[in-house]
Amino acid sequence: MTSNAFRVVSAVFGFMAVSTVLLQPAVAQSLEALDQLVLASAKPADGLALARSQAGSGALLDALATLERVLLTDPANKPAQLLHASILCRIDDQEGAAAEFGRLKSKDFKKPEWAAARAVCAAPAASPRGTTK
Amino acid sequence: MKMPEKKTSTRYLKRGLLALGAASTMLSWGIANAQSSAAQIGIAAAVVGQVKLSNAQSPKPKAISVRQRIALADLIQTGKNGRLQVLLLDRSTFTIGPNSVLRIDRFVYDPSRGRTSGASVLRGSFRFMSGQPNRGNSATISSPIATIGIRGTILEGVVGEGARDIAKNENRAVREADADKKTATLVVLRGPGPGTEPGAEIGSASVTSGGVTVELTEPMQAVYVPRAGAAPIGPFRISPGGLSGLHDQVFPDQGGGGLGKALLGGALRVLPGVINGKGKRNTGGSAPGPNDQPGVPVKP
Repeated sequence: MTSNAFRVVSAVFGFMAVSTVLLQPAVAQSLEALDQLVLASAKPADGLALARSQAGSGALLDALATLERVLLTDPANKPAQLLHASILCRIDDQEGAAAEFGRLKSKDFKKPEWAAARAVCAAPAASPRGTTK
Repeated sequence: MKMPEKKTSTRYLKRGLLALGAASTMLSWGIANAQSSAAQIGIAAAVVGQVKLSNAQSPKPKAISVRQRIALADLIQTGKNGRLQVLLLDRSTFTIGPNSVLRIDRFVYDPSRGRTSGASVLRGSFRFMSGQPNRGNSATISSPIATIGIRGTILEGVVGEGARDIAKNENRAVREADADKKTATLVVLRGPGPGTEPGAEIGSASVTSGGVTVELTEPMQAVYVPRAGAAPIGPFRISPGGLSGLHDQVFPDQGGGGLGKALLGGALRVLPGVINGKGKRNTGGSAPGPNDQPGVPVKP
């Protein structure tokens, strides 16, 4: 084998190895990003704030996932339940929202808070707004 | 003239071998690393009560904690008070209720191309929620007797006795089906519906069993597969009681159990403003209604 062949072989192997190694941080970073999401919702109040922020920016499913985490660990969290119900309306799960509102009592909330959540659900759904596949 | 040439060749040979050795070492390390962590496809995002994980390397189930890495083929089991949310790399979530068994069998994710995933729910209750919208996304969930194809959606389901319990209060075709208490499978599409705000894909799902596929295209549409080899029954609209029962199985502490069910029986009546006049009121589960379509095969 000539020296050029060795150069080529070593270069190919080196490239493959380095590429593989470089891909690792991408996966690790993604997992770390998930860690950050979880850490940001570790306390119910923080989770609620994160969900409000996500819902405010239109990331409705992310907001629901955050609220799910909050409610798994703090099932009696009324503000989280109310926000969850109102987001269901925003994704047009009207009956699911109705069921969740049925679990809540308006007296457990400040009037504007309750009214705002109900207003989301009372608003008529527009003709298809979501993206289809 | 010949000696220096031979010397040069030997030098290149040594350099080449050294480079090859180094590259091979890096490659082995890189591949080993990739195998160990490329298979990690998510994390345990919320863990409540007893939740255990086992796999080929650790066959004995061990308790898991929040932020623990979840890898392909890990078998996750919840105890009678256990609940878990798994957050996957594409931000899809799998939430399982008590006495449930979940395994992620397949997960391929490229942020620019989408995600393909396959999971098995062998027992218990679950909610799956799609992550970041992408036209390339596809997912399947298998129960022991049915396969569910998912497109951009929120989906809930129960496998086993819980499914049979809910089915007992649904329409006649569902409640009278001869069901297997270990494998009966109930699936409910939760959305997003056609009126969803932008940013969420309209959800749909297909359920296949016994060579028959049934499509779910609207929130609250449900399908019941009573036993292995049976065609899916549906789509039908899940009753308020059925929805409540499903919710209580995935999130048992939120609804107050029987109280929640009792309240929800009338929830749709006491909150008319919540339903926006789409006329999707269901039948209450006692008799077949206009939306009940037992055994509608879509693809033979």
